[in-house]
Amino acid sequence: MAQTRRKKTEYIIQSVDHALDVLEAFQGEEDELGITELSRRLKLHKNNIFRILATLESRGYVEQNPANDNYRLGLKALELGQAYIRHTGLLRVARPVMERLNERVNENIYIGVLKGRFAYYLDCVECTQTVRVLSRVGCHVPPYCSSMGKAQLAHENAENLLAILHKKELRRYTGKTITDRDQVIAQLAEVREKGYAVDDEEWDEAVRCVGAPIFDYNRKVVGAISISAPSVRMSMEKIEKEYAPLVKQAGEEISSRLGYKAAGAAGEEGRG
Amino acid sequence: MIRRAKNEYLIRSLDHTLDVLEALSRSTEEMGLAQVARQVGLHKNSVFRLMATLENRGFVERNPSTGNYLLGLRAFECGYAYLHHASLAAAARPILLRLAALLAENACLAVLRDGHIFYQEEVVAERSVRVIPRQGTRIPLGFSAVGKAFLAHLPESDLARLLESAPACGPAGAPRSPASLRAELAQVRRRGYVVDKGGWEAGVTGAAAPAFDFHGKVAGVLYIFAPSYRFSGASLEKAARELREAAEEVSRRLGYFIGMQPPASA
Repeated sequence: MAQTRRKKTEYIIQSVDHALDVLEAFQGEEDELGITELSRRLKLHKNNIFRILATLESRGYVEQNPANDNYRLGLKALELGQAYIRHTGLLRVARPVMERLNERVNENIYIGVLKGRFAYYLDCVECTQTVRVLSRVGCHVPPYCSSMGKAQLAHENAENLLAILHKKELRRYTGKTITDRDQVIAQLAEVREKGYAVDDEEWDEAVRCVGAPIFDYNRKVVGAISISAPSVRMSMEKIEKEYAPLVKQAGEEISSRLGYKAAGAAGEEGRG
Repeated sequence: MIRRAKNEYLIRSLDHTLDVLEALSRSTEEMGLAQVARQVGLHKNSVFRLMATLENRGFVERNPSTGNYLLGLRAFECGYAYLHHASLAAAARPILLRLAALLAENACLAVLRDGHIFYQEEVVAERSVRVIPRQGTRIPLGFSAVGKAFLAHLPESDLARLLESAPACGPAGAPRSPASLRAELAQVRRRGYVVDKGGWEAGVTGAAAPAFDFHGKVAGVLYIFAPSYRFSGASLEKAARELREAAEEVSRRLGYFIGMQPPASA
């Protein structure tokens, strides 16, 4: 990591790089951090941290809690995240399809992308039921234990796949996580064939998901859509009979709005 | 004072970095280096180095086919880390305090729990004649300003269910037709707030406005109320406007933003 960084990055401005470290430090569990704590974690001088925070604060990216002088993320940070969402064409196109799917099943509907070694949840239409899974928007998960991740992994070439699943023995999160890389890869063949992927309590013990890939006009996978629900409401049988066809159809609809044409459907020029 | 002192420590390159990020965030399309340089008023070489730093960390990405820049996934994550820590109470508290001080009237934050209104935060105005909020009273949703602010934004299926189980009579025994309530709810949606002039409790006038979370759902309702003689005519109107603005501010802090709504025709 350090090597590729140094090579590619002779242009890097160190003070800015450190500031990004500070911003990222707030992405953990604690919502507030003090100067001393940040200095300890990032191994930077307190004076340095103070100047970074002062600059970020002057621009609204962090705010200081007057009660204890600690810092937390500011509204500007959120605006940055929202701008990303606004710019992502996939989300604009997907949103109405997600809403329709949500009306049909009244469960959380997610859209996400695969980037590096993780699958990121970018948007969600939440169910209105009292018992619901906490929204995962803004979180990332290892793709081999999420339906959204697997739906996308299934279309990666062998080289990328080995780079993403970079160890033979994958990390376990629940009793059902598939930790053997070869077994994951074997399952992906099945995912490709069926057109959808299932996470059977592989990331969260009480949650199942079913997801389908989204393709663009280049036939490249650009994301995935998934239905996520407490296992008590979504049995494996229900997934296969009811939800898998629905999520597949939703994925196909978003794909076709992105200009994707399935191999057999060439020649149809209708615009949706 | 403290602010000015802090300003002396600002890091120029970081300040410029934020300019670059904001230029990308304002633009509706990916941007070329020269375009960004022009917007932030820096030399192309400097912008190139800032971009290299940001790209290396995933805060910006490059479109491989055009070489242009866009915001990266890291920027998204950073923003959503804010949301994961944002709580309704924390977002609303300072705004409620400000609103109550500005109007010199009571202000509170109501949430819906199992179909009932629950006052989570209350700021009581320091005045000799005041309305004492009554924690725990269960007011039918369709008869209070707060209730209507919630009802106005419920999905139709939930609204229908609630109306079925809700009592059809107000305090004065007046029956209430679902049709008239629905018409009123449509008005609430249009105006962004709802006023109740002594409809539930004689002599008390209140106004309520919903605050939305980033899913576009009502997270809570801001409510101001006062003896009716202090809340009437122009003073009530002004208060309602301030209230609506306060609620919008809470929504903004919770990540709700209009830009995310899909185009109606899609």
